[in-house]
This record gives sequence, structure tokens and C-alpha cells, in this order.
Amino acid sequence: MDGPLTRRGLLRGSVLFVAGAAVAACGGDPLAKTKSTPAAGGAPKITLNHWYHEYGEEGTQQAAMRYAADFTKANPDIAVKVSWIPGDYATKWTAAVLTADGPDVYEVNDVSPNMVKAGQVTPLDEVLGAEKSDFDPKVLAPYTWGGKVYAVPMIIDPMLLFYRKSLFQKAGVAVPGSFPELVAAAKKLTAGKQKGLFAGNDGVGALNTMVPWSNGNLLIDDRKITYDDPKVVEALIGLKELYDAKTTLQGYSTDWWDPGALINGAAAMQWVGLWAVPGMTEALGDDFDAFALPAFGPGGRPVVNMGGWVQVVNGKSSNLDAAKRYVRWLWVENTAAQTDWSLAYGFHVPPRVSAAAKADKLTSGPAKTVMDAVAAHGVKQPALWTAEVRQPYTDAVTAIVKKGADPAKTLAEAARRSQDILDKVPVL
Amino acid sequence: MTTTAGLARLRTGRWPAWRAFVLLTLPMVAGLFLFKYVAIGWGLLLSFNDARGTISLGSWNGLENYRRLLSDPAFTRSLVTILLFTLFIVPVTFALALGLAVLVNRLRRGRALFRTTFFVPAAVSYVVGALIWKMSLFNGTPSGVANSLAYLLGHEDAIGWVATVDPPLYWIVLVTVRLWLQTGFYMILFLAGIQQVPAQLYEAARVDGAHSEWTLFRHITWPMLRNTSVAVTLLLIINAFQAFDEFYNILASNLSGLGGADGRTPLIYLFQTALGEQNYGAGSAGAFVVTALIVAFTLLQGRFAGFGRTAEEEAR
Repeated sequence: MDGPLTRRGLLRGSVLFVAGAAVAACGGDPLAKTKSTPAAGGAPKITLNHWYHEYGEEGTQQAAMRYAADFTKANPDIAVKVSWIPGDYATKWTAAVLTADGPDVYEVNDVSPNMVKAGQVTPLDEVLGAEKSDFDPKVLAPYTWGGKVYAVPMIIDPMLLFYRKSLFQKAGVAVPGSFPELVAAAKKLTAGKQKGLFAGNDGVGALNTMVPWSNGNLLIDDRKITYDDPKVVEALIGLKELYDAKTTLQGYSTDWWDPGALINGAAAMQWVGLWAVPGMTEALGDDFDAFALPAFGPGGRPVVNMGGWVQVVNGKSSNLDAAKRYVRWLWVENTAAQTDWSLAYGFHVPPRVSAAAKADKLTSGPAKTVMDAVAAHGVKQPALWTAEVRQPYTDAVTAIVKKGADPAKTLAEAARRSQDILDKVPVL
Repeated sequence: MTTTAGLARLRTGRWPAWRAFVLLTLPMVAGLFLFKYVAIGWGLLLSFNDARGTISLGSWNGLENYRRLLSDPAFTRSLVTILLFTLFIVPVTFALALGLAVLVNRLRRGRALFRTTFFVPAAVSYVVGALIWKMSLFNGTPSGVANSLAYLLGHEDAIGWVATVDPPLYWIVLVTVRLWLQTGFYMILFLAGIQQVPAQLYEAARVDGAHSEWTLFRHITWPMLRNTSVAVTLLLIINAFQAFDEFYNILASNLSGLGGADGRTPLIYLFQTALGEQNYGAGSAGAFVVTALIVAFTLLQGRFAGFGRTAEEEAR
């Protein structure tokens, strides 16, 4: 079009532009950095959407895409599109599974009865197949509802206390064997710009549940809230002492799951997971080790928190069979990929018992300390301790530990509310 | 620019004005209808459903969601939190923005420079601002900017600004970031208002013997700014009630801040209810409670300030 721009020309151009932009926007996936795996030989008939949260370790995304490509090589009619979801993964998958375009296969930490009832997951017993006996029953239990297993564990992440050996030596501190000893150690290790312990940027972090666990109360017992209890009161008074002594690091630039604070010497002890071991080894050599959160006192027990990720299949997926085949191929049969995923980047425990036994990298150094602690003291969070149920409890702990509210009274009120919410969770 | 001749041609020509009007407004109206009104209507229906893990209707439970919310101390506390926050942030931002506007307006030189300087933060996103405040200015390590200042002033211990709830130091972080981000924008609104005031009014007042700046401000600038003031207050109240971004990024996001009851605004509570716990029914119900609150406050404020009343109605 030569000559001056006419009004109609401009209008037509604008409409075309808007239409083009709209088409372009529809074509893309606004949520995530995605890449399809190239199909080998002919176009695949089915494309599965597989979502991961953003793993921090380098090479993990490439590995996930490699597994997907290998699957397509073995099953030419099924392509897998891997989506790597940065940021707040939980709110993104919860929104996505409501729609028809949700992921076919995705990973979660917990499977709640509400998820089962809403069809966001599907039973995977046939996917586990004969290999089911090779998974630790304790690990499968929280994902089992009404006798059916709804998830295949991908990795197990033990979380416990790591410490710097050299800093312990300098301060003349031994590995604590009880909670009072831990408090004493944290006080001794707090000097100048160094704090004794880093558990989370709020100063308490996971200790709000771990310390009561170490005093022998898991806060919930199946369908009964149990935290309105003198043992929990005692544990929280202990936690308050630790907090009030200003021994815990707060507001650091990275959070507890990143070993940065320990590596930089901002804290001498840190609550973090096995995944951080390779990074710490690289930065600190052998100047670090781990220990379970010690027993609170007599009647208590040491605690290692067993977190992790599990794979689920969206019950509303239109390619249910293909999705199940893919999950079985990757997370049950393909032990090579599982070992690679668990040990080549950050360290995790492979969920299959036979694979964990063969994990050489976990048999020496701090990783071995962790594995021994796991075997002796591993505790898995009860399945019904969901975000909704625990919210009154975490609010109560903040009030007690940070503001000096009356522990027994505050816990009793919160427990009533938690129980009320728990009673509304459907029974399967 | 469309000239009168052009308009006339349009009216009589092959391309009637109404067609252009429809064509140009349709995408906007359709979008508004589809993505706002349908969604709002659906949300209202959903708030009367037991919608856990689903957004489809069918499991009606009457006012149960509203009952659940209003009996939850965490939600009522979040309403109190946002009320107090609004009562504080609205007058403070208002006074600061007006003060800055008056000062900038009085400058003989460099007015554009200062105007731009104060306005620039308005272009920064709340998320970015919040993260700068949290991770660099107010981080809890001795090397944080606030802690370095505190150290110079003789306070040796590093202060966990965001994590300290007793006394509630996190409010310093939240309030300063919001002031920094929004004051400049409202200053521009006031500045525009001030520049609308005819210079003759000031001249006449001076002739009549009003010499002090305060008298001029009190009797000319302030009354002439009434419409601007009302609009600014309205926007400030709505913005304050909808506070989410900086609270979420400083206190509640997964780079953990507090994770507890402190500084939990209604929107954060609802975000956690709907998207964290997948209770979309209760989440929608809460959205309507908050909306009702905003509407009530706006009407109340409009009543006091006389927004929308004409000069004649005012005179009566």
C-alpha cells in the first residue's frame, strides 16, 4: 500500500494486527517454558502433557526431556510434552487440573481425599504392578485411599539438620543428643555475624512441627487432631526458648532449602534436605555432616522428616492409558532413569528399595550419615495433615512462640478448629 | 483526528458511524462480558456450592461457605488487619502525595526533574518493589541496608525486619514499600489538579490581602482540589482493600516470610483457600464479602465527601 495512510486502511490493519496477536497468544502456552520432544519417525497420535515443578539443580530439565524423548523412541505413537513450571507450582497445577487442558501427568507432594473425590488423580495399582512390593509400604501409605494407591513415588527427600564441623570444633560443641543440648549448642554458636541455626526465614520454619514430633506427638492421628496435648505444649515452650535466645537466622536472602546460609557461614546449623549434599560437598569439601533432630527428652524420639515428590495421573486425562503406560515405563520400570534422576543432580533417595540399596553415592560421607538417620528415625508426615487442617496450628505456633500467647489455651482453641475442618474431609 | 466534515461524510457514507462504533467497542465489551461478568456471576453461584477441587456447580450448600468464613478467626482477623492498614495507609499516602505536589508545583526550576523522580516508582511493579524491600533493604542479615543503618546508629544485633512480629516490625517494610510505590502516582493526580486552579484566583486573593502561603492553600488550593481529593481517596481505599502483591511476596510466598496469621490480608487468605486448599466455594464467598466491604466503604466515603454531587445540589 503506497500513498498516505487512509482511515480505513489503518482500521483494517489494526483489526488484522489484533486478530494476529490473538491467534499468536492462543498458540502459545502462557504458563511455562515448554518444549515438545521431537517425534521419531512419523507424527505421534497422542501427546501427553507432563508437568514438573522447577528443580533447582542444573541439568534436571534436560534430563526430564531426555526421559520423555526416550519414551517416544520406544513408543512412537505417544509424544510427551514436558512443562517446567517456575514459581508457585502448587497454585498452578491446582488451577490447571480444573480445566480440560490440564496436565495428563504431574507431580505433587500429597494426595488428599478431596483430590481423589474430584478426579484429579487416578488409581495407579496396575501401574505399580508386580514391582509394588519393591516400594516401602510406609512411603506408599499416605497416597493410599480406600485400598487403592494413587501415586508412584519419584524421589524421597529426607530433611534433617546439617552442620559445619569446623564451626562446631571452634566453639567446642558436640553433636547435640537432646533438645536442651541443641538449644545450648545454638547459643554457643551464635557470635558476631554468625547465628546458631537456620530453619527458615521466619526464624522457626519446619521446627514448628518437627519439635513436637521429636517429643512423640505427630499432631494428628488418622482422623483425630492430637496436638492439644501437654507434650506439644512442652515442645513449643522449648522452641520459644530457642527463638527468644536470638539464635536462629531470620530473613536471609535464600530460604531453608538452599544451603547458602550454611555454606556462607551465616549459620552453623541448618535444617535442609539430602538434595543439598552435592552442592555443599562442592563448596565445603568434607567440612559438614548431618544429624537427626534429637529427641526432645525422655519419651521423645529423634526425627528425620521424609518428604518427597510423587507422580500422579490426572483422572480427567483423555489419554489415560497412554499416561499410565508412560508413568509405568519411567517411574517403575526404567530404573536407569530413576537412578539418574535421584543421584546425578541433587541427591534424593530412590523410592524403589532395590534401587536405593544400589545407590553407591549414598554410601559414603554425609550422605551415608543421612541414610543411617533415615533408617533409624525417618518419619513420614501423616496424610491428612493438609494445608487446610494445619493452618490453625501454624497460626497458634506463631502466637505462642513469637508473641508469648498462653500455649495450652491457644492450642486447645486451634485444635477444635482443625478437628472441625478435618471432620469435613470426605472418607474414602 | 476526525473533522466535522469527516463525521458528516461518515454519517451519510457507506460506512455508518455505528458500525465503526460496534466494531471498535465489540472486542472490549465482549471481553468484559465474557471474562468479567460471566466469571463474577459464576463465582456468585459457586459461593453457594460445596466446591472442593472443582469449579462446576451442583453441590449446593446454601450459606455454608459464608458461615465457615465468618466463623473462622483467621478470616475475621484478616478483615481487621486490612481495615487497620487502610485507615493508616490512606491518610498517610494522601498527605504525602498532596504535600509533594504542592512543593513540586512551587519549584521555579527543575520541576520536570522532581516530578519524574517522584513518579518513577509508580512504574515499578509491586512484585519487584516488594522483593527489593525484602531481600536487599530489609533483609535480616547484618549486611542488609536497614541493618547497616541500625548498626551505624549503635544497634549491634542484626534485626529480622520481616520475621519480627512482636513488636510488628514487618509493618515498617510493608508500609514503606507501598508508600514508595504509590505516592508518586497520586502526586501526579494532585499536581494536575493544582495546575487547573486559575492563577487569577491567587492574584485576587493576594490583592485582597491573603499573603501567607498557608492562607492561600487553605482557602484556594484545597477547596479547588475537592474533586481530585475525592477521587484520590476513592482509589486509595480500593487499592488498600485489594492489597495482595507486596503482602504475598514479602510475607506469604514460598520464599518464606511469616507463613502465619500476621499480615495476612483477606485476599491472601482467599488465595490460600481457593488455590492452596482448592476450596473454590469458600474462596468465591470470601471474594464477595471483600467486595461488599469495598462497596460499603466507597459509598460511605462518597456520602461524606459528596462525590458526584453537582454544585447546585451542594448549594441547597
